[in-house]
Amino acid sequence: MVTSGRGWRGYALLGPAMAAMLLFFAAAMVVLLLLAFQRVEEGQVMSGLTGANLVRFASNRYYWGVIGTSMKLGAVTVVISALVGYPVALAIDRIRGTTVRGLALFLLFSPLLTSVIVRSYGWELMLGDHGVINTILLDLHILARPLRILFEFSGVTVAMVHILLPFMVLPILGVLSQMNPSLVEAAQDLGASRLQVFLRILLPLTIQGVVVGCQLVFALSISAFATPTLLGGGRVQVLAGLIYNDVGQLDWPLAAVESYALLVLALATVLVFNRLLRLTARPA
Amino acid sequence: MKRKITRRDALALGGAALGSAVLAACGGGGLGSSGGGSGKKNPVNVRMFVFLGGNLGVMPKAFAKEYMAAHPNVTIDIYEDSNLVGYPKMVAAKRTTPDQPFVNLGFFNAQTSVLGDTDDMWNALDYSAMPNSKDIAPALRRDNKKGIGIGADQVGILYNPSVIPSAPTSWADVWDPKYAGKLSLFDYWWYVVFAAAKLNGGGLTNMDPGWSLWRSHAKQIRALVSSNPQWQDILSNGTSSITSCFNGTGLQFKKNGAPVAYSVPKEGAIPIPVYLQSVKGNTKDQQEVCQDIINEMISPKWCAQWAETSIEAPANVKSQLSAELSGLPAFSKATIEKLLPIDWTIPAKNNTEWRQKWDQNIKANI
Repeated sequence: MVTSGRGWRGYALLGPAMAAMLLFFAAAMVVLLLLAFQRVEEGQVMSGLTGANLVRFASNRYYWGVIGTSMKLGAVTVVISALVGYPVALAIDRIRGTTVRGLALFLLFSPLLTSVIVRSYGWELMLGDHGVINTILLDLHILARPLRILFEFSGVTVAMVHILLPFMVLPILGVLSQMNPSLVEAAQDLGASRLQVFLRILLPLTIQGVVVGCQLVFALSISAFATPTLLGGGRVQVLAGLIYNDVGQLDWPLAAVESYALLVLALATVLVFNRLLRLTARPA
Repeated sequence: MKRKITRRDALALGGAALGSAVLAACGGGGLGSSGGGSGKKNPVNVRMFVFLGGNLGVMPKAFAKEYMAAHPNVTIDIYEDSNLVGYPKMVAAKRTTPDQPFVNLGFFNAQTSVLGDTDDMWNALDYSAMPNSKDIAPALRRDNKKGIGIGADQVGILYNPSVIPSAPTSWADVWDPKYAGKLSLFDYWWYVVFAAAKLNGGGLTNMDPGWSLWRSHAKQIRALVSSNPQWQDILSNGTSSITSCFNGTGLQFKKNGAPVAYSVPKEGAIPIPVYLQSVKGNTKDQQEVCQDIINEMISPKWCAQWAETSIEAPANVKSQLSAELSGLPAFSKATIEKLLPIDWTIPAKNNTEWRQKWDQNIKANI
């Protein structure tokens, strides 16, 4: 039980973060909310409130298409990251040597040590019509003409998975490291197959790590800007790109509406994943 | 301001380049020759907006260095960005801190200049106190005196001669199906929509034929780029072999090793004037210095240097250009006679609507 003294100490520790959130996030969101209801005439933001920006956004199929692309990018990135990230987490967890484990973690997190712009240009070199992948496939006569990966949804997805994989692996690794290894050994001793061990022991015990990883990867994917912009070639339009364009076009009220749409999507996702977390929580 | 650049104006402007057969800048325009900041004792700091990319920062930086040496009380900070990205920041600063502008002066293209007129962004310049202004081609002097021209670029077609051996000669080549999947454009490159409208019975005041054509030809586009380095990259690595581009930017790509050549469409290239503007909200001292700086930058010497590094026609009729530059197709008499006149108030006024049409009709369908 938490004593009142401890409670106050908790609030005091939370204080700076709460103050920063209120000052820099909540206040900005209030300003953004007011902006969303301001009129625009010939590119000028006018005084007076209106719901026209909201209607303009909600009634246009184009914006729904962009929301759809953002959600699709988030979903595909999550699925691939989970499928790739889980075995990676298992492998790293089984490494006993400190040096090798450190090296594996360094390699995993290395994408985060470079600028997103540099990474994206690196992917351009890899995925381009005359890039490394196409050159190898053409030289080996596997392809007759270059695969179109760059400036396509597939290229953006590959780059997103590369960048966001650590956010999937880390939570799973955290859960794995707390798991009692004798549980797996006991199951194996009792004759369980590898698939049974995975489905009945590993997965149920690590599902919370997977859900947290999915939550992080999805939230970061749907708000990604640089990678879809640089590698999408205009073909992969996401909400963050739309906001950037409208700010540039000085249509700030519409950009404010789009920002709130992104926020609502992110919050809805967090709620869904939180619900999943509760459903998958093990009884005490 | 409703002024258009007519063919006659453009011809007069191009004449300056055509008449320049000798490399080397002409004399005159020594810094500190006019009043402005030279006699001021108060320290004055100004921030200058300079285009980002290629060699566009070379002349402004060289100028700033020389100007500060001649005026020890003046410091010039350089802010490098595209007008597209930097101008909204200027608007934001004007709305929040009108007496502290984001930049104090700078280089702005025609469309941003007109947007600035609408936003009341610029200070009027006192042309009578700027001795070099009398040598600026009439087409690049502004009726409202809110800024003055330093040069003019043009938009035409850039292509890879090793992939496309015979040069594209018409705007229609840009949307020719034989180049499907090989066309790259800068994001929101409304010039090709205008060209399509022009070739199909429309124009700046009736862009519908252009929007309609590009809606059905959107698949032609391989990629929309968002920066000059990215543009140069995909033209260099063979992902794209044709684009519509500024002559100056394209030739800078070429200088950097990109396998590209510039072609002037037979229907005419699109002239793109570049202006120098002083921003509202400057202090009296800053305004005086800004006007002096602008006067110095439009001198024959600095105007020629700007033209050489940005590969543009110089605004100062006394500027002399290298034979290499004046011999370029973009500066030929025939090209200048055919430039398509643009009333820049129209793109500025329709900026938001056109951008939405670009996104929804073209970008969404590529």
